[in-house]
Amino acid sequence: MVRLLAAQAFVFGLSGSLLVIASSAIFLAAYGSKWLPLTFVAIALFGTLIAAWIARVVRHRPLPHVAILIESVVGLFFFGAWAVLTLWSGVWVSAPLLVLFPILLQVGFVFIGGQAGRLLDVQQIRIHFPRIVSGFAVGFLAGGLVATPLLRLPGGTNGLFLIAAIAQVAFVMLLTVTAGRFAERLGQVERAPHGLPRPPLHRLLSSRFVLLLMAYQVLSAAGTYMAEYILFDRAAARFASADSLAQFLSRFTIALNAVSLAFLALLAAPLLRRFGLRIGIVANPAVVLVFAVAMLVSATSAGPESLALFALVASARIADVALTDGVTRASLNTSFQVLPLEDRLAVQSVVEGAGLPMAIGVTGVVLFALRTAGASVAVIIAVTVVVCVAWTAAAVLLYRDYARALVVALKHRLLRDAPVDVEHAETAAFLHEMLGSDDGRAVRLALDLLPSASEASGEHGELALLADDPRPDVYLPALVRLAETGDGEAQARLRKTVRTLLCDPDSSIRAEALAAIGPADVDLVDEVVTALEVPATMSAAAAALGRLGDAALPRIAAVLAETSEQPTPATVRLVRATRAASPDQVAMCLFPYIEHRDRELGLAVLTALAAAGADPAPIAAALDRTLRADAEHFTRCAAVRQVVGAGSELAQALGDELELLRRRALALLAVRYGAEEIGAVANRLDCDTDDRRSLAAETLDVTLTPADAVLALPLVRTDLPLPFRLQQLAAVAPVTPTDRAAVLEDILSDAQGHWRSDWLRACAAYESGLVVRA
Amino acid sequence: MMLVERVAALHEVDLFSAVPGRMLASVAATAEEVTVEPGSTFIEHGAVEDCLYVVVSGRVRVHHSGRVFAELGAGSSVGELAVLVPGPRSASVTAVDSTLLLRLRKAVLDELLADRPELATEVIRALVLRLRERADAGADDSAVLE
Repeated sequence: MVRLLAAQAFVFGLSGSLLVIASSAIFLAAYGSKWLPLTFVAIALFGTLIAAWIARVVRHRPLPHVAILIESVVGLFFFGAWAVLTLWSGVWVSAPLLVLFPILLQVGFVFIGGQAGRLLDVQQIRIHFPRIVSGFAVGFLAGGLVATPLLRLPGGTNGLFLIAAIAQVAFVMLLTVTAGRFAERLGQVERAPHGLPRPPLHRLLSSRFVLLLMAYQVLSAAGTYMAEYILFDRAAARFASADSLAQFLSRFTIALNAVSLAFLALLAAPLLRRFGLRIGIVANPAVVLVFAVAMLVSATSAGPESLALFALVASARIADVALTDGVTRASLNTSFQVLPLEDRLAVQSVVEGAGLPMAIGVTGVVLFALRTAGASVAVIIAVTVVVCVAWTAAAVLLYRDYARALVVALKHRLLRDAPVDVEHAETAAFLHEMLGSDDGRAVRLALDLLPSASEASGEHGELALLADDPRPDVYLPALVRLAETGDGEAQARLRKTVRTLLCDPDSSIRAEALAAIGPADVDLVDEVVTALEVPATMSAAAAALGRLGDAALPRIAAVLAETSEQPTPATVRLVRATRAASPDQVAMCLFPYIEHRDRELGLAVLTALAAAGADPAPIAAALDRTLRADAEHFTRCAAVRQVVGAGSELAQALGDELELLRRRALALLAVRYGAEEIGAVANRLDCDTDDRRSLAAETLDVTLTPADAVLALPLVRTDLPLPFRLQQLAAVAPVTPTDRAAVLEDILSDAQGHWRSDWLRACAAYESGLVVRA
Repeated sequence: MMLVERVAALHEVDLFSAVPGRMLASVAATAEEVTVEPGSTFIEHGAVEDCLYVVVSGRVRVHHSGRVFAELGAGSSVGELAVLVPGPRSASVTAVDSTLLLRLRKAVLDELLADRPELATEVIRALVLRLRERADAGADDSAVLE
């Protein structure tokens, strides 16, 4: 798959290289650089129109169909251009071809990037996209090498268009092969999920993240084209004839792509792996800015004709292209993955397809105005510096927003509130029918579907009747509904009934009574806590405790204070029930137990703190110690598991311990970075779809501080091989080699208090032959 | 169907009988209504899918290689295992009468269980009851569930 995309990029690069060398050489020789700004304006006009058309079409037609159609038309256009130049010497055709080059460049990358987005997940794109782009760089380099000898032949420049057309045919063939091989994934038209209206394109484009992407692309193109204009301007001043200029351009193209290839081969992937999108997005503008400042110094000190300036301009272009191909394209393509699948390609078409031409157009107008006003090269370079400063600022903002956009993408939900419309006559009639049913389940469902206390007041008479029903599972919910409407008599009756039913010998009736407990029933805390210890009432009791909120905390604190080193399951459930209480109160109640010996209780504490939204700042030190201790325990468990070998009870127990540590790490991260955000990550990490899991892993990469990432990621990234995760932890939590007997003895004695688990000890005893299976 | 009718139809199914109505309304809102003509097969043996069907009205027949495993009516569901662990369908399901179905996707059930993990117990209970019923009836258990 990656090879096919790289092959596409190769022929695409070859075709583009030949196009730009031939068209710019013919155009500059015939018309000079003074008309270049006008071609920039034409690029803006046609580029925007073409991108808008593509964005519209890809919402209704499969991507490969659109790509094959457009690239075929381009191939025919190249043949036509060759014919016009060869048969009628129509040099004018170089102008539309020069205009076409940047548009085709962006459109081609939208097609290649769009296919990569469908076939690879977000982390694969980060790793493999530089390889795909390297195909483009090799193609561009090959174009330069092919062009050099041909340019020496009479009519050789025109012949480049014929070769470009043949390369274009190869590109179309590769697009067709890829479409056939991955028909299922590439052939789909991106549609909104069932039942959800599809947002209009302009709304998608007005989101902050997309606007920043657009700003980045526009400023990137503006900075790049300002620098390119300066290069062409200086080159045209140095090389007078079309042939010498074409010779320079072909050699420059070779040098540029050789550097780009070397960067792609040696540095791009390691840099992206190590620093992620941070370097991918920010490095390019920052480096070009440095060169632009150096150019300004050189132009003002050594003069515009100096070799130093020419060398700096050429170096800036080379650095820009190397970084663009090496890290920026991969990073931007990765960043599009946070957008909903059904709209990704349309947005990418507009941002990349229209953003660049618009930027080129604005650049053209600015350059034209500067030239008309007689501005010097130094002034043009100064404007370039300003553009690069803005580009760098946009890069920083874009990276920050990327992390936010990832979380938003992860929190994208299928289940949304769907209130039942009781104003709707047929719905109301249906609900009345259910309320009057003899089937208790139907009545309860109808009571649950009544939206709120105020809206339920219309059903007062019906609720009063149901409140006299002999079935507790009908009259209790009816009483609750009546009490919610402010009916004092119902409230008093409800309290009395609940108190009575909590003592009922039938556990199902006690569970119904617990379900009727509301925030005001603070005097029932003890009864609820007692019910937490009985399996049949445990769920209802936990829910009731949650509704009681802060009122339950003193009782929970008292139970925790009496808790031994091995708390009961009921204590753990009690802690979980605090999640609905106020954050400060929960933090005060649970803080002392974050580092509790019992890891299950610690997990419950962390989960409750996260769910309540407790402020992590005052408990930062305890969280740091906990995470480090868990990382150390993780390496200990994994190492012992390797010594013990797979298949035994002990190995299974150690596997469970690793899972417990994973959940603790996620709960701890939820306290620190937000329960909703990390909850979304945790759900997706468990997901069986690669792209969702990859998006979750990417979110962790950009959200966690380096200190947390180094300890937490090996614990939670179960999609990575265990040896790799242990290697990541080696620096902070080294593994001490040991033998089987020593391992078993260590678990049995637990002299250092690392293991803290009766079950592990039992498994170790069984493993060492101290006990035998009954 | 009105939303409330969809909720009532889902509530009839063991799998969802413990889900509170308001939460079930969210699930019902994502369900797709599928009308199947008599004799039409809407689950093909061997097809890899990740959805379950709730029979709202009509009857369906679960069969494979000429053998009929069950006939199910309103309040039944088919394909529960596929929505938990997607895999090839082990039997085909064909409408006996004109049948109205609600189709639910795996992603929806995943989200529901993530929101309310305690519902997993009810799902397990419903699946076990179903298996036991089929075992008592002498049918191929998994064929009905897949």
